[in-house]
Amino acid sequence: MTTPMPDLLPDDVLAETNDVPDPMELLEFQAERLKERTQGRLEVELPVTTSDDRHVIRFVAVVVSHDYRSTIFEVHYRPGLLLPASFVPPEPFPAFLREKYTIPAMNSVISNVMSASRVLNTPRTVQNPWVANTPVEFRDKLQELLSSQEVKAQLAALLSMARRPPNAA
Amino acid sequence: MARFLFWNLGGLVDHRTIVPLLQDGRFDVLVFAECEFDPELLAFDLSQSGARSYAPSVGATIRLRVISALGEGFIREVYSNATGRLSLRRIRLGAGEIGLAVVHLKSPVGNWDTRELDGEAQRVATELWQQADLAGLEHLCVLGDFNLQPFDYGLSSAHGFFGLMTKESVRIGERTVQGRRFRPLYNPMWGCFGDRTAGPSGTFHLKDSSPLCYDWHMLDQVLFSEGILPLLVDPGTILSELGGQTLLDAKGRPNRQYSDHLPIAFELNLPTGDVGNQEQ
Repeated sequence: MTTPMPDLLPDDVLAETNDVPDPMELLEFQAERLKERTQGRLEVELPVTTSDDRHVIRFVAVVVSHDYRSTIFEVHYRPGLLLPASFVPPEPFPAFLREKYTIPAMNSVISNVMSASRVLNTPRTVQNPWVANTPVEFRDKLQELLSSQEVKAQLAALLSMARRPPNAA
Repeated sequence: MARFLFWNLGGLVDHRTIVPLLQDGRFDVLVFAECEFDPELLAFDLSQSGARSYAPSVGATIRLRVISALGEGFIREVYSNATGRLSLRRIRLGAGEIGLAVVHLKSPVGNWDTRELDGEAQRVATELWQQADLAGLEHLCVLGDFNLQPFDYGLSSAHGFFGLMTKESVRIGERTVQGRRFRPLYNPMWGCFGDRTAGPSGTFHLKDSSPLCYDWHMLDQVLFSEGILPLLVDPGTILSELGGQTLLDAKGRPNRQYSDHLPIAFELNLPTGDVGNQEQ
């Protein structure tokens, strides 16, 4: 009697690929929805830039009336393979716009020197919470990103701009 | 004449430190990186105590702050990127229109190596030209803290900012590399290195124990597209004093009371007059 050959392929990734949209389709759909939900005051462009090691899709919100553009976030990936992908979220608010923040105990000059020294002398583990390996992770992280305070504030600011008359410049 | 200043303030928290340096109203546009204070406060104090009226130029990028005496109608942000490391403004002076791109690229302190920093410069340079083309801005000044030297790949290669060291090289125009066309920029900061030129030897001083240590670094730079060249009065100067105050310490290095970077300035032959007070 021969032992049946085992199917070693993982269930989760293969199954979920059937149910979850492709990352690019997902981005394009969010772009369409943003236009619809703002009655066309905001549109989205998805330009791709390339460098030696990666491609970058930028989610660029356009205030149509002002011809103003602002990249809300970026998606970095290897040429030709959209997964894994890494989201680059918007910059965090500066101290004066945060409801709560921590001031380092040491002055910035000393702490900068200290951190530089640590970087040079000590191996560190860097964790990137914005890396998506599967379509499901891509969908979930995109949802988390679009719900972040920074993205919501940026969209609110752009909608506010759209309500004002365009500047002459 | 239109005078521009860029200064990485190194996290300066109290704007009052630099009010006396800038209140002579010499500059039309002030651009700051690592500015931890609200620029509205600086604009207000400069206007109160100084020779001219300044206002913040509204922009989405918090990392890069712009204060201007030109008036809102004459300088306006047309693009900002997600990380706040690139902001593009349209400036209208007289009959002319130029693009002012301000950058603050990633610092090498952290987990990025030189190759990644060069890659980031490539991406930002490509992004800049894409957005400038969309905004119809043909003539560009690109200003800021690049965290790279003029000779680094990301600054000098055609895949990056393509910053060349002579105007003549830029006047030759676009270059085609493997079928892709690239527009060069003039980077005058090549000519500011070392002690054989007037002014400090770089914009940032860092001495460490590595075998390759330049001591002085030219991290803060300004680059110009071909169309700007006829307008250049002062293509780029590292400032060692402002408002009659030296910015250097006893060793001739940046005085950290102000910042660990020195400011750079440039001047264009564009009419400013009293544009800030004109009706549009």
